[in-house]
Amino acid sequence: MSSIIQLSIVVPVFNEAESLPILHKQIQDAVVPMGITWELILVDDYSTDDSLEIMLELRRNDPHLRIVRFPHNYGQTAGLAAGFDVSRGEVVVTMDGDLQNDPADIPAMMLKMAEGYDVVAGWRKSRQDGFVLRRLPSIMANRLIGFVTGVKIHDTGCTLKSFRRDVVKRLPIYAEQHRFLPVMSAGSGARVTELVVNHRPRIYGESKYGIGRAWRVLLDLMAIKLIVQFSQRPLRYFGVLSLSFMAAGAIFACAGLWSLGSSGASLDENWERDSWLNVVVSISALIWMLMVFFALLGLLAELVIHASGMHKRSALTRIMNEQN
Amino acid sequence: MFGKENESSEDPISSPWPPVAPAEVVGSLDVTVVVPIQSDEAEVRQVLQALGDELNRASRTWEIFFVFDGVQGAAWEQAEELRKEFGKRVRTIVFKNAFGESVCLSAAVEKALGRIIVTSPQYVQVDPIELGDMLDEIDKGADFVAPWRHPRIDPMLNRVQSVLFNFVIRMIIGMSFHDLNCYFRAIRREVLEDVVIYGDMYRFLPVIAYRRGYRVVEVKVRHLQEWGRAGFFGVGVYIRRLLDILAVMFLTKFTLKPLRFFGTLGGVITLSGTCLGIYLGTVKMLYGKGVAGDPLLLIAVLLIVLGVQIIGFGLVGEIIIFSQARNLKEYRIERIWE
Repeated sequence: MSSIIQLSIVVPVFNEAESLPILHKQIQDAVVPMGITWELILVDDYSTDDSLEIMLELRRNDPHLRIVRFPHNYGQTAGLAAGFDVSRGEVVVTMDGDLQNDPADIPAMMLKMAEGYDVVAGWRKSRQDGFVLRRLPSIMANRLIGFVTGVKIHDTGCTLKSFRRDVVKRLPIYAEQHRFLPVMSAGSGARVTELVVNHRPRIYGESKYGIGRAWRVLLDLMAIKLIVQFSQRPLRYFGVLSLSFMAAGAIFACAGLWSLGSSGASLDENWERDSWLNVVVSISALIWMLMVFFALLGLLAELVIHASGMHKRSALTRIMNEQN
Repeated sequence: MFGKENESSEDPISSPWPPVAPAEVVGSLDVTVVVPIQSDEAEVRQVLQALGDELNRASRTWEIFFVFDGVQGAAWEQAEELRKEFGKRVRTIVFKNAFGESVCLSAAVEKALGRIIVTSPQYVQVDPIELGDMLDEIDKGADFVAPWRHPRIDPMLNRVQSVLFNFVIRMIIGMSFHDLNCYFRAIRREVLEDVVIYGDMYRFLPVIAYRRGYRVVEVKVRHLQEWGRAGFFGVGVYIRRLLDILAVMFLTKFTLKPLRFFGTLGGVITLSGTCLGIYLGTVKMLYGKGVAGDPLLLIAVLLIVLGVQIIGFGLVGEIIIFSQARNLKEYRIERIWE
């Protein structure tokens, strides 16, 4: 391609046959008046309906379309990752294929990007989903993510986001992480902001998410925290854990010994006291073992980072990491 | 690499089969048969004869690779004779030590000229007539043809565990693999170039290929004989199956999210320890009974410690995955319409 593409729109598609023509029309309506060069990348995640045929049909009339076909159902993150990998635009916008995101928000996002932000995350302020099952867990998850990582974004689950090219190139995207992309970008020094976007109720198809994944989000969050803030120096993370176990063991030992008091009067009480002493000592020892264990895990993690050569990556990325 | 490769230059006229393709270009042959040799009793000649006849009948150009996995005895001498007899058609790789079948296959694929790789056990395990059908499946668009020995030379009890195993595997990955233990497989070359295998992965190759998005087809084949059946009965087989399931789960599901696996396991263990602790606490509160001498208290603490340790492993796993994230591509693109 000789001409520079300014905007790539990445849409992972899984069984969205009814929505696709409408989506394409709306994207055209939103993007064409902006007068920029653009491409639309549809990643077909092995749809089982006739989504692919419809995409190919659309492509016949619009050369802006590029279609990526997976040979297997890999999930949304893989779709986004593939879209990022093949995209050529200066700015990459991701959105859902189910019409819940409104392409009319794209011009506003581009304006935000023009202000100098690297990542703009959509915020579905008026969400068109059930409150108890969808919105409440989402609010709680987002609060928690903001609290733990320090990147305050109201709606990490919204797929409508835009990224600058170099941010995309720097992000390792794998394993259902799309929710954490803004957080991870911020970790590598990108300037992140959010924008209120329109959210429409689902018309076609059925919802592909469910609830009951709070535990998984929690575990993912632990992982992200570790990766974003400590991937360059895991020993510090594990060292903090190790020290806190040391403190916990010490507190337990002190409390236990203090509660022993003076020796009792009767033989029976003395026996009780001795066995309690045993318990206190063994439990403290166990907690202190955790201290040693986590210190060693930290060393192991350092070894992994060192062996992977990741610490040698571009200095700029690392400096940005340090500042965060 | 690990061993030396022997190739004779002369192509004797006495060869009863049509000569191999002259140009040594990858893909210039239809089929490369790879036979990892694990023991000295290998029936090298029989395998060559059976598969060669069948391949000729299906009018495919082919070569055969015997990979000696630390074996250097009668079988190797046999192969040397065959090499003299058939020239370039028979090739050998010799490892000084045993590296396992996965390495054998990888090494052979690096040198193979065929478009399709056929792996075969070191004896004629299934009826070679099936090979034609398997290759036809590849021509029809399959990427991987896995055999399924259908009328099995097996006792009843073994079949029960097979059914159970397949049910579980189907639940986990969405496709049944009826016969992971039969290594008579036909594989499109690109699959093996894409999937890096090591260790025990030779066995789970169909599963891995399926997860990578390749079309895996099972073909029923006739079972002729079985070697080394000792230890495949009784309780041992269930333990092995359980390990298989764990391996499949690990290879397919949790590789990129270690904390989800370790975290859940550790979380459950910590939780059970905590519950036990709370129970002991309430007993002490309500009845004033001393818990100091109660071994349950120590067990509760041990469970919590164990759980925390397992979560720690998951964290290190996440670091490992993240540090390798650039090399781990989760997807494979079938086609791009630009």
